[in-house]
Amino acid sequence: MTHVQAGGRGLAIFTQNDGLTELAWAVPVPIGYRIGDWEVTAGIATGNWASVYAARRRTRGVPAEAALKFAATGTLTRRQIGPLRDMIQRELAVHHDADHSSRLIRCHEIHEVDDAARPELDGSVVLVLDRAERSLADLIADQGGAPIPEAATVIEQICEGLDHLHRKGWVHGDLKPANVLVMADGSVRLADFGLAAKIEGTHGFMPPLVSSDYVPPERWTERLGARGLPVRTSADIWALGVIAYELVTGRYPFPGAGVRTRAIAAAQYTAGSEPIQFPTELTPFWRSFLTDCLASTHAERARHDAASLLERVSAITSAPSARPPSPRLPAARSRAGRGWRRSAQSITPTSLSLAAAGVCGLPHAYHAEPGRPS
Amino acid sequence: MIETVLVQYGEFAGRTQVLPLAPGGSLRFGRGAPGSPVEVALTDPAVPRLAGEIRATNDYWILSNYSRDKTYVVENPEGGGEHIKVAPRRLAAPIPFEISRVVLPSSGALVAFSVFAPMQTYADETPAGRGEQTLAAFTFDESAKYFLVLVALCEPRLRDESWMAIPTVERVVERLRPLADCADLTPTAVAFHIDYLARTKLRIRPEILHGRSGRSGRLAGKTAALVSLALRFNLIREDHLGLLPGRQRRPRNTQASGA
Repeated sequence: MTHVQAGGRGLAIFTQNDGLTELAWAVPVPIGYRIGDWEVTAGIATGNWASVYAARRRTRGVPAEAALKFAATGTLTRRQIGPLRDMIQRELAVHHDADHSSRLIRCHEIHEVDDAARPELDGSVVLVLDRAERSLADLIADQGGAPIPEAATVIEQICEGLDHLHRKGWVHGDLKPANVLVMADGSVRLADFGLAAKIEGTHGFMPPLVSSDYVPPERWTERLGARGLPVRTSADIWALGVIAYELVTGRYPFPGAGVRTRAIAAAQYTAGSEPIQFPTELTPFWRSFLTDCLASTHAERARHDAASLLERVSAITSAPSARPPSPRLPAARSRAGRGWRRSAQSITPTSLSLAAAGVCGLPHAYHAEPGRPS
Repeated sequence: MIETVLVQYGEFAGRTQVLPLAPGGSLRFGRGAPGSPVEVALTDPAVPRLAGEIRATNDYWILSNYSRDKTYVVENPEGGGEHIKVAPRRLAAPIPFEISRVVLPSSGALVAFSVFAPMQTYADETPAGRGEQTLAAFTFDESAKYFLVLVALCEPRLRDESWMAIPTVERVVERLRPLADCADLTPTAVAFHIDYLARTKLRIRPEILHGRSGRSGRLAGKTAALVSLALRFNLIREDHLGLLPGRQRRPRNTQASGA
């Protein structure tokens, strides 16, 4: 499963400058670096434990382009690897169980870098993933606070992805706009399954590593057990509600300058001391949809699963008056040539135990534009 | 409900009670009287009937001093003498400490109670670009004594001395005493920090905390649960060992000591 050629000798290490601080890439990979059939063409984004690069296939084949996610391993100590191994295992398990949906980013191949000449890369696990244009976070940012015209279609597709994932027995656990990727045809796919949890009965467990503006309010009072924090599908529904609110109104539902302040505003809303604010022009359909997704407790939210929410929003998008100018729902594509399933089976538990990937620390999208900082 | 502030009182009367506050929530303290009810009753005759009010305001809290002529002192027991004076009639003074002790002038014994703001936030140490802001699910003040206590508890396992038992409270005191900030650390204080970490900072499930309280007692069970979870979820890592004082070589080999 390891195919690395030491291509690109002498090429500059790609660095990203966001104008404030030069970011250190978790896994610095030179432009032109070759792995298997792939050649790195540009950096896309980095998190704490993984970096994503654009790559093109060097021979004919489908897909011709991909996003390569390099998970840091070389510089980590044995103890640091533990939680990262847990995350890569979650991510691989979701791809294995559930990514044969056109609403989930697919993993085509897995490699492990074997390159003693580059100790910073050696041992990195590389996931070859669908290449996206950008993320929903970029789309929202570009909109500059205005509603997204195709909001209903995007929400419908997120619902499809969640419904599929939930039916397969998984909670995404880290749904947020940066993890919803926009493909070249304008459709969206869910990505980044490093915090996904397999549902056992009513809930799964996730490591207590990070939280964002998209975690449900009950996260702050959940108690830590030996396997982590409990997480239920209703957590994804809350995140869906926050994202949907942003798409249809152009702004975040809870006020505040910092992520903690917003979390507290959300908590005050759920405690009943502050009602959720809707713009006056928002239609009754969206008021009711958002109110149900953002129900303050797990029990109330659990009354509305991804399937029923999908049905509701589909009724809107299929109404002729609500259809966006150009149809943006592509037909599900052929799944031929997916070499990944074979690759996955060739990974033994032993080789996996050497693997480590940071997934949750990757708040970025896979951009198409070469070298564009996220 | 998210509880950002905890008020703990009655330590000196031997009956410790904890009142949690959600953002916007408040409680009054004082001697109390018919017509002046207080949530935290302080019995000293020098304390006004309605002495003041604490309001949880975000992940910090504000203190109002309702007395006409008494200054209250809010100490940070973690910091070297760090404190804030809240003058008489001062309303809504913001208190920045995670752990505070509010001290009131009294006629005799110390009149004080503790206030905790355990949800204070720290940024990730590695800037991960400009994606959505992300918080660690549990945040620690790495300069606080409770954090040093946690590092000291985890040290033997982190150094792969897995055959070693989890350090006792006395051993932690001994380990941290060389640090200037910890010169006056006591076993009681370490036990207090362990309790704060387990219940409030990590919010460990009660059945784990009390599950194996066999012969070694509740504190040992709590400590074992704390160390196990802190290491399992990478909350304490090798790089934190640098916060501890250097380890003296044990003079086991007299030749090597070069006498």
